[in-house]
Amino acid sequence: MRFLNPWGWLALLAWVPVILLYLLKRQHEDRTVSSILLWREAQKDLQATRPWQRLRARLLLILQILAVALLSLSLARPVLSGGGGGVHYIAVMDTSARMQATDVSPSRIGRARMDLQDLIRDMRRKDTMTIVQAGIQPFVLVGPTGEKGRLREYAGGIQATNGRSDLERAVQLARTLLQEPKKEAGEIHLFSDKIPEDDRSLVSHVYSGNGQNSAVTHVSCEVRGGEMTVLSRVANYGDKRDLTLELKADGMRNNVREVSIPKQEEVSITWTGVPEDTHTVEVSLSEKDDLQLDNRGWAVRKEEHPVRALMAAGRNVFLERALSLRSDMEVIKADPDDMPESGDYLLYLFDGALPHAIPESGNLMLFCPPSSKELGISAEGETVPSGITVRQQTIYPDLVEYLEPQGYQIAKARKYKVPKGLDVLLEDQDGTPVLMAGEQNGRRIAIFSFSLSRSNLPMKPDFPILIQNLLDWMIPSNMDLPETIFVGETLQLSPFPNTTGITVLSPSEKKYHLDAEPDPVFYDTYDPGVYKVTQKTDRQTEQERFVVSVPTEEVSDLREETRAAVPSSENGIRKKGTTAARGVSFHREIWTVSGWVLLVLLLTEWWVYHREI
Amino acid sequence: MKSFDPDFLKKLERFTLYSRRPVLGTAGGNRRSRAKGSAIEFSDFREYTLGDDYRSIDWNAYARFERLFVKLYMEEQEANITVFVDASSSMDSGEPNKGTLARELAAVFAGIALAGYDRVGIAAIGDSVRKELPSFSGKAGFPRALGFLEGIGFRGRTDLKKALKAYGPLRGRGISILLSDLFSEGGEDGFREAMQYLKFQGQDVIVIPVLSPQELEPAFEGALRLIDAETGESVEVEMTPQVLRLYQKELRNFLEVRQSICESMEISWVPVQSGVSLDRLVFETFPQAGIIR
Repeated sequence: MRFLNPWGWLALLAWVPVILLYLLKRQHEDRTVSSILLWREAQKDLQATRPWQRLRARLLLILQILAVALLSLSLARPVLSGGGGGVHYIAVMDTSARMQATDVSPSRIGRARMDLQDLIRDMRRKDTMTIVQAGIQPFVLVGPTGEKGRLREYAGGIQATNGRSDLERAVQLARTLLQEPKKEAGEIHLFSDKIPEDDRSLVSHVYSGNGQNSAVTHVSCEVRGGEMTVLSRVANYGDKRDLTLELKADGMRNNVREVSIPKQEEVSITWTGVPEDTHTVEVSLSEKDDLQLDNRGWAVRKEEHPVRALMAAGRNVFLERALSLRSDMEVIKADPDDMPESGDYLLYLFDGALPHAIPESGNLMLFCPPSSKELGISAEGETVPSGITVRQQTIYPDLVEYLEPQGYQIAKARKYKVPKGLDVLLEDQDGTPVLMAGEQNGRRIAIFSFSLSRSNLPMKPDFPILIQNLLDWMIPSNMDLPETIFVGETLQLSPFPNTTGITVLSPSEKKYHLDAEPDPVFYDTYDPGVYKVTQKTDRQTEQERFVVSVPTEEVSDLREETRAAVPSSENGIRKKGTTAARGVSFHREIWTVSGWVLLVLLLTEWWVYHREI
Repeated sequence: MKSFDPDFLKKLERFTLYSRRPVLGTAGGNRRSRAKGSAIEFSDFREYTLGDDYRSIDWNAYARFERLFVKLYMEEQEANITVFVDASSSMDSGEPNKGTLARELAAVFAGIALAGYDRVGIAAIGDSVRKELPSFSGKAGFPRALGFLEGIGFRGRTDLKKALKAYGPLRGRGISILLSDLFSEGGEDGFREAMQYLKFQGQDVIVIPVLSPQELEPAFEGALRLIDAETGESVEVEMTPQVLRLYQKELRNFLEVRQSICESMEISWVPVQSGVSLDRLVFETFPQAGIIR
């Protein structure tokens, strides 16, 4: 037998007053009678039968002491356990942003931590526990282990994240852990504010108090007519509220609005007159509610920086037109034999020739280039490609998206060996590469096996598409940052070809330095707010911003009816399911039995007192 | 005290106090006496001797036995009635008050006695004789008796033995009536000695224990310190049902012991409760008990 609430034994202290009541002399009320003769005789009788009287007095005392003991036992919540080995508990702790809600005291996550600590405390010697943290990515926090100190330490450190949680995967992970071939019994305890549907194999500890919450669900901005317009949306997930909204532009208060939002509705608020050179806008709610996290929203202005390209490809109207489709593109024309010495170009385009000195940096788009030892290009004769198709296994399918190469006509092309680091995108019916692309030493290269002047490709509708695909890949539109991602999502950065270093500054002023290796990924997006990304090239520094926002659709609605239906207790904490041990072990709370015995005992005590048997 | 109106007094005149044995008085009255005479009440026969009044020869007996017998008659004489009223503090309790009832009953007995041409003496006793109304006779003296009774105050302790002995020798044989709650010093032995003393004085004794409803059925609860009205002593009692039951048992025992003492001495024992009306006591209880007829 073990006890889920050993503090219940403190009720044994009630023995002290019970015994004191027997020891202490009672206060007597004076009453005059004609004679105390008979009363004194009656008292003598009482004392004359002392053995029986004392026994009876003790009987009452014993009954009361027993009643206190049973009360303590009931409060201690005894659990009968059977079976041989220990129990393997798997505690799945939901750490979604919703668990930050304070509609349960001190907070949903705080209360869940306490309950988890209780569960750890009640573990028996042979029991073990694994704690699974169910955040955006569920993972095993600790265990399996029977070291209570270690478990307590980890359990005490669990915090709610600012994002969503994947409970289903977390429970799946817990089940997998439980299915490991062990003899011990197992229980999965889920500490969350909701219960996965149709899952009765869990012991669910549910924390929900039907909290009142409002959230800034969307913020975006646009520069038009010399000023910035900000669009925001605010949702009210509780009763009707009057809210004060504040707009900050680059951290300075710009405007304040009073809005009244009906129950469970969402309203749009448009803000005008914001300076056009504003980089960041923030919309926030002044009133407090049960979830503060989603009371702010941000938007950043899309920054545009010109991209410089050097084209040494003769006069080609089609190519020039295709390049000009990129608004940020600044194209400089030159002769390959007369290359400008200076100039930091992100892209070089050569047709039929290569300069004597290959530029050290910058991406290359080459049309029918000659062999180049430096670039690993080896031309082996000529061919007339026909039956051009997209290679199925290409690793760059995005570059040939929307193309229909069957109608391409090429009068003459060179036959190339595929240079190191490049992959074939288009090939003819003999498998001869027609278009190759890839990366060499941090620079991106695309090689057409033919000159544009020897093909009908520039006249095809596919041509501008192909060129844009290549440009998007070779020269990302600025850093190609998304304006907004949700908390916990990873962000793949696209560094410039000549980037020497990337730094990311979080809203909490924490600075991250990333290598400019291909496709660096930024992971630490757990704080909502505006992040600054800075890329340094040899000659300039580029800075862009992106917003990490709270997934309000998933975390802001704290209402009960949006959760699985489980009867709620007064304090907003519920427990569903029973200890569902696997194998031969069993655990059964027996406080109800002791409670009934206590009731019978109290009735007996009452009867004894009144009947004085 | 109840006002004794003429109707009530008239009703009382119909009664006489009944003595278990003949009384011995000095003056003629309505009371039968051992002094045989020519009064109406037949007493005995004896054989005719010379000089006897031949009118008293019972001819019927002669017809049956062929010997002459003369009828003997009880001579009616006045009796000495002594009423002892317990005037201790304990009598001044109960609802209705025991002392009031005792005084009323004393007045009733005095009224009956005076109407029967008996001599009446009244004594208020405690641990001695507090107050005494020497014996007198004649109906006209009834207001005197009432005045005396109304002047009795209840205080002090009770010691029946001492008080009765202190009263001094009683005048000849007569009837002594004791109105008391019997809560007396000396307990059972003291009571026995007191009764023996009265019997030794040749008294036909009537003991009328007067108890209140609260004494018979106490309705106490909780923890009480009971203070004795006479002695001021106290006892702390937890009024549990068991204690109340033990009290009842003690009370029964207390009364039974004293009743058995009385029965052993041929003393009339007529317990009364102060909650019962005077009319009911006088016109139902006492005649049924045979102390008045």
